[in-house]
Amino acid sequence: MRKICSLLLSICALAVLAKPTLAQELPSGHMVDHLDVIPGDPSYLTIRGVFDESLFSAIQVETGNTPGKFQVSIPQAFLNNVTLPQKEMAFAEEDGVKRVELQEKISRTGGGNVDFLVDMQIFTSTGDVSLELDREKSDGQQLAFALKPMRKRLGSQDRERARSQISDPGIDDMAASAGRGERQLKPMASQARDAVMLHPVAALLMYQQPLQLNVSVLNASTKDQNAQRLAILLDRQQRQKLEEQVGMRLEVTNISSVREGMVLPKTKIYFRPNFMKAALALSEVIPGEQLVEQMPSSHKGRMGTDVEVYVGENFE
Amino acid sequence: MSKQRQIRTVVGWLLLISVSILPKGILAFPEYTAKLNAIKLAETLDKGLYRDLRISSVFVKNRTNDEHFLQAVLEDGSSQEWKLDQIYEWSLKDQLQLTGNRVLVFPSSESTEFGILDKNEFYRLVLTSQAYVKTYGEHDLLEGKRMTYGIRRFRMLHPGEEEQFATDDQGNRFRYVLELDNGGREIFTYLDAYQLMNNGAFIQEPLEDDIILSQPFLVRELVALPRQVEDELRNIWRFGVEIIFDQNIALTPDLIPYQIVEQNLRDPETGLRKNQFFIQVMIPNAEKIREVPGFRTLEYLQHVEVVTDVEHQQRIFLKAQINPQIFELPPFVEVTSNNSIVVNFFSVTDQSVTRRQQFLESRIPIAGLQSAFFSYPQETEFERYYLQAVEQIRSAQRQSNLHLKIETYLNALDSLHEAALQAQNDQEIAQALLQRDTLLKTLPDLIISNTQRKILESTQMEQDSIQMEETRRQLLSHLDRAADFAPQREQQQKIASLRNILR
Repeated sequence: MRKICSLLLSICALAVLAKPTLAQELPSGHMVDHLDVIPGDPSYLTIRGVFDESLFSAIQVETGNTPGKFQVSIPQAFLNNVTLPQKEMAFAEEDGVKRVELQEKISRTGGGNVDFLVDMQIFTSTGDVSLELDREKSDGQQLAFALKPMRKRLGSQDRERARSQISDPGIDDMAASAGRGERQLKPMASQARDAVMLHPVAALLMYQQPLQLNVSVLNASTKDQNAQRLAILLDRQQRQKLEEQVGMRLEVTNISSVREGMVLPKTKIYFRPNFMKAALALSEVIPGEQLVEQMPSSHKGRMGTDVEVYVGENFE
Repeated sequence: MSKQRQIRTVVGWLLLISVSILPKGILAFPEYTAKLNAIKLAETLDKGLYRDLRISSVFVKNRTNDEHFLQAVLEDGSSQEWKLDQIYEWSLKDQLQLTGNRVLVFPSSESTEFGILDKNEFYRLVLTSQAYVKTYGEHDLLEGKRMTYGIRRFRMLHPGEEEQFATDDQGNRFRYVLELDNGGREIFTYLDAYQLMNNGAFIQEPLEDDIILSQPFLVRELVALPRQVEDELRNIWRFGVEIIFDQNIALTPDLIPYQIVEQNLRDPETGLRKNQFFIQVMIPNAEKIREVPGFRTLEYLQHVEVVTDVEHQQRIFLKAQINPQIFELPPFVEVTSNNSIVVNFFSVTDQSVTRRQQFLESRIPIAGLQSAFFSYPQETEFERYYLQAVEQIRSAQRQSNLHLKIETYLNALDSLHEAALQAQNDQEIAQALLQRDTLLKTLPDLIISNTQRKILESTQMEQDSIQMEETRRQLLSHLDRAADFAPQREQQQKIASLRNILR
């Protein structure tokens, strides 16, 4: 009886001690439940299950030895045998992925620990795609791999051109980067040149008067036809006066609306560098009160527009 | 105009008009979304609260292959179809709560892409941050610019505060207040908090080089800077206003923008209403707390004064009335190391600058660049020489030593000559020759004046013979160049007599 009691006590003690030890030793990891392909641009291979986001960085994606073949290794992952009885899955070829082969690898290491991972062989429909883990679309319930079309390989001339485009910004870009406080990134000679070139008198020396003034009219009011009415005013009634004043042909290149909800109380005129006089002339002919400002760097991507008029609520 | 062109013009106008008259509200929030987004949203909403009911489960359903929506089962056993526009509306009205003190946010009112603000994470971040990087929004005078402010205190909007039930233009309610060291305050919605977190707007440990604005700059005095020549070639003059503050101005000139404001005011003399124009140079993080005397007139500026921006916190304007007809060049701002900002204005009397007459006389288009600037430094050979000339001319204009000034101008002439030889089109060659002619118009008088002065100096003070010989040689060389392009007979005669003296 004493023997039985001591045996029971020992078992209880072992059970009490063993449980936390086991819990401490169990590493966190992933469980793969299901695979799916979502076609689109880009297409996604999604893996549903339970995932530990802190381990995403250990997931490896390697390009296979043949085009269109990828090897994805997910350490500390198990396959859910209930939801994934088959280890090979086929998909519609037009979805971007032809086939996925899954393999669960469990091995015992020194010290009684267990290493486990899931290897996936992914075969895509075409060879000119790359596969990468999309961290933004991945979370605790899903892993998303994006299949992105590979960019065309650049020839040496293209590379040279691309490099020059990256390293040689225009003066507008320089002004913009100065605005972003990035001037210290440029070489000293370039900084000195900026200091000279951004001065209005230097700008005047570099100025080539264009023959055409391109104006964009945008409705920033609650009255639907304000942009159109202003464009007609400029084009039909004020054209000659404006052209004589600014010394350029007037061209209304765009009439449209700004996004919903953006309403300006006063009409605003944005101008590119060296078009201040033209903006002022427009302000003089537009009825009501206007604000005239230099075009922010965020607008400078809209090439071909010298002056932007945001028609405000005050336009009658 | 040909008939075909007329038709094209009419069709173009009709297209533009049809775009412009589209009602702005046509772009409402979508009802359906893509599959992946719907799956993600369903997972996000799972086990959350809809009004006061726990959401037991959420499924994705679809109308077509690309149009997905949600089906939610609530704890009372009811099942509801949820379109995306409904979810969007509920998120704005606090009718959806996620588990773990998180909220759903939609960055755009036209897209179903959503984000999740973890409020606890936000509180921990903002409470441990020392500085806040403010990026100025659309239609602000500082649009797109970033400034870093010290954080004084973070808090929730108190019940009864004016903004508690106010919303932004998208309908998101304001929730939080961030009080800044300079006395300003920022009010955030959940969406703001989400975007600020993602944009790294909160700095926990600032670097040594980071400029963090704390106390506002207090304006003390305005000083008029006298008129002086800026560009003798075009007869451009500079004058200015120095704004003196109580402390060093930790701003770069690009953070001091300007605007021109048109106002319909009553003329004090005639009593009639008319539109008047004011230039306003804006200084951020600044305050005017006492009367600062301005100037009634300063060259062509009238009523020059410092005023407080009544629409924005901690901003002042240097304001002055201008005549838009004579306001040719924008102001140029410099930040000094003497607790001040200098705003330079320019007066241009040379009307060839705008070349209006040229346009009126000839309307034949010249093929070339539409851009106002050359796209330097991705330069053609022409641009390389032309920009070199511009740099030399600007350098000469800042040179106080007349002798060196002439040397630099002559180098600029050489650069312009090279630029003209490299020109690829009519516009380029016209530009190079125009600048050359502008230089040639002024240079003979400068050379004559400098030679006279040097001759007088040499008679008044003793110089060593080698130095004198070198100066004499240079002056003769200048006179030889001047003789080539001096247009007036009187100038030619002077040059000849000066050459005789030097020989």
